[in-house]
Amino acid sequence: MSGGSVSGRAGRLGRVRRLVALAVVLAVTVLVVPPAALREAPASLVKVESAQGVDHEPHVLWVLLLGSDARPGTPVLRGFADAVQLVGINTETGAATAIGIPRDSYVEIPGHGRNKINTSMVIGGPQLMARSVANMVGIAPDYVFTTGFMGFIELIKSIGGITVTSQHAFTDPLMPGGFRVGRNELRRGVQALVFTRTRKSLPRGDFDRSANQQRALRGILAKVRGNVDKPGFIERGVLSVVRNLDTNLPPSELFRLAHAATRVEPGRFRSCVITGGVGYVGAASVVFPDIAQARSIARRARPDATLEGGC
Amino acid sequence: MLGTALLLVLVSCTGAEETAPRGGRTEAAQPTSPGATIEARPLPLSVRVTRVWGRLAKPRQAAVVRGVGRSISAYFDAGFLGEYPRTDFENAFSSFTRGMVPDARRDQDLLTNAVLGEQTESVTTRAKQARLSVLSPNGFPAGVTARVRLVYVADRGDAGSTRVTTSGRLLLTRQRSGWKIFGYDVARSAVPVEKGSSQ
Repeated sequence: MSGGSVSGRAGRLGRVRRLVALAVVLAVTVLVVPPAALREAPASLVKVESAQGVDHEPHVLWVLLLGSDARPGTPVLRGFADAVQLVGINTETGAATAIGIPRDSYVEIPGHGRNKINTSMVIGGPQLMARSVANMVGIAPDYVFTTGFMGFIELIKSIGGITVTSQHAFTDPLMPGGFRVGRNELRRGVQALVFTRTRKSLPRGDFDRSANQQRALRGILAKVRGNVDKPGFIERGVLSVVRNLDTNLPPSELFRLAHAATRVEPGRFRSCVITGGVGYVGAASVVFPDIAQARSIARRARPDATLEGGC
Repeated sequence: MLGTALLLVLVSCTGAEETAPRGGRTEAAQPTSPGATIEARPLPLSVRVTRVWGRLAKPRQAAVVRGVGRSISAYFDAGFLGEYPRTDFENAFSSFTRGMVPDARRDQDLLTNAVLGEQTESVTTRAKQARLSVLSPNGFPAGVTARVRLVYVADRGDAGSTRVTTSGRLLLTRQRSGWKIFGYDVARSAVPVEKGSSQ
């Protein structure tokens, strides 16, 4: 309708009403849809600040990682512990320390006399392993994780392989071209398993093997930390842990623990292997561990999972 | 601006006493009666499960969406949205685990609108979403990683407006009192916005 043809009082009122109606519509637009009145400045540089934190009590936790040599089809808790690593993690500072214990360490097993430390697993399962390690080193682990060959392979597979830095070159049919000094991409879980299990090809045998286990651990931590942003990465990893590792922790606690572990900065990861002499007890080849060294490392690392002064 | 001029006409017609723009900025008119109030509806949090790791029946998925949504909404509302101006963000972390609260308070400048709070007159939400990756190994939800994105414009009167984006990950587990945030990895950016034409 054209307003120009309307005259008189009624026409003026009509124009006022229409003006008011238009004003209402525009006012609503102004009040309710403010973006139309705002446009972003042509900023070329936006400062982005970030914050991270994970709640885990205690902030320093000690985890005993055990690799069982149980063959496929045998429960992992029925095997000997081939890999024995006590790892401290500080979720506040991102520091971590791994203490490698040679599997043949001849030590006091609480309630069972002296024997190789890895027999604790067969005698009393992860609980006795934890007590034997605590008795030897002086740190009682908060958690114990045990995995077998297949579990480890699946675990590595679930995170897409790892990168390790080897100090020694050695060969194995499962690793085309063998392991070389320096960086090695271990894309398949079985390659990582070989890297952590090989002993005879290494100059210091069991000690070097324990060091390689720590290198694999460093590779796992680096992989996890580098992928923590990927959607579902942690969930998939924890699901793999639930399915492949023996643990009595509820999944919710594992989920929190996994996120706490992502706080470890690979550059702040320190590791030592307990040294000792090699000898025999009867016909058995054993390692007589340097208990003083083990306790010295533990004393320094226990409070905050850092290791000043080296091994 | 035509919109501003017409708004002034409208306000003068309805009898409001103070309508003068301050510093080139249009003040929202104060309504003379409750019936004249015009308010934008609060933007609800958009929550969706993107993936379940393990298995989780649909009704339980729906419960996760409700519970996690409630927790994140409470955090967003108390930490960024709500009434302004204010300097008190004490209640911002009621959805966090007890052990997480001290760290969150330390990071308050990034985890709330505390930096702008005192000068902020109002905030307008532009985006508010959470995408959930759910860990559920045994048919029960054990943990959730929520990828969140909150975008709002803080109106700071004479100081202009700032568009703030907070995004990243919130980590949650279920406790007796509901889903609680036990970890965060979030980034915050703030961009000034200029007033432009309403047309």
